[in-house]
Amino acid sequence: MAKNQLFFLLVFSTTISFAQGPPITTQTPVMLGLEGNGIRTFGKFISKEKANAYVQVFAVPYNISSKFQVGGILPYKSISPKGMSSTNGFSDVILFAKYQLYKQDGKAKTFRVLANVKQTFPTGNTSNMPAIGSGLSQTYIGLIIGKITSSVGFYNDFGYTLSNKGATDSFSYNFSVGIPLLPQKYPQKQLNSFLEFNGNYLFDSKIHTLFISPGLQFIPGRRFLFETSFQIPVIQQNIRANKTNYMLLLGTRFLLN
Amino acid sequence: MKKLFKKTPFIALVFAFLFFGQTTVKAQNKSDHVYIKIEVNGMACPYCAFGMEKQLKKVSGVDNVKIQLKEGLAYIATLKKQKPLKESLALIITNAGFTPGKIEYSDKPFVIKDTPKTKE
Repeated sequence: MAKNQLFFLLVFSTTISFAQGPPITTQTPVMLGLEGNGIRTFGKFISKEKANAYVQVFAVPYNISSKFQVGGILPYKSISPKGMSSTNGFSDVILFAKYQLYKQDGKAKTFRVLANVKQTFPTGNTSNMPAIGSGLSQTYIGLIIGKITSSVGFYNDFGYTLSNKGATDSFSYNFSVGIPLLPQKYPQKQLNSFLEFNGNYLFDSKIHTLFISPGLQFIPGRRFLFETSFQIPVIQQNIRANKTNYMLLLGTRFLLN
Repeated sequence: MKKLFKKTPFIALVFAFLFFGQTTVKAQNKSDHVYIKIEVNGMACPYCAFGMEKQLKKVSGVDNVKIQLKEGLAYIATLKKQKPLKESLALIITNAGFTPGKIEYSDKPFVIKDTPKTKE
């Protein structure tokens, strides 16, 4: 695998796997309200030993039905290696689809399982160093599982990413626990706290990364939310150079209709 | 001044008519309504309750929706002549991504107890 591609996968593997709704860095099986027909954008600052990067992500989900959602993700990236000139531009476009496989609803609680497919297209520029795009077509197949009650939410997503051009395949996994800090009434201002874990394993290079990500989310009304998450590395196995120091996410989501 | 005293019963009559007339109209409006309590299973978080509220507001004649999250209940009111069928309400809830439970109709408004302001 080309060094350029490995650099890309190491820097951005955790930024691609983002959530469509609460929680912050794990996906949710609920495709309603702020998870439905709205827009999500967040900025992520990534501090590494030999580079800093900033990613601004725009994501638009669309509910075809209550069980089926499609959408697109457009990331804008800026990479500043230490001692080198920075590069920036729109990166690889991602299209995704989610389908609800199972649902068990109760009074103020739900358990849902979704199938999740993502296709990454190599639309980002690869001519500069470091590259903004991966130059790879990648297909992700995974599951999203969640149990949500009015007092706590458990979320989990995991999946396998197939890459072309001989690049390494990977397995990513995210887990989140969300606890509301204010009484769960409707409509009301909400303040939610999250403790999340974001893992990724690259098969060929046997690189395993795991981040612990505490986060806060403020929902001032029906249509807006603001969120932040601080991602700290706890495992960076087989990475010899340019380890990640931390990642900081600041984002918002809003409903259009 | 004498003229004013002479006119006072007339003015009082006009005010009385306006006051009682308005009360009668309000009472008539209430008696024209049917109140509906719907169990919505799966409504576990405030951000997903918004989807339910939006869909219920689309029901003909409904302009106000009250959601009780912890109880998993939604309340609506509409004119009796526009009373929606249970089947159509159940379909709206299913299409919104939830599971419908018991649906109750009443000629009187339901007593809605606010959830105590304690951490759940």
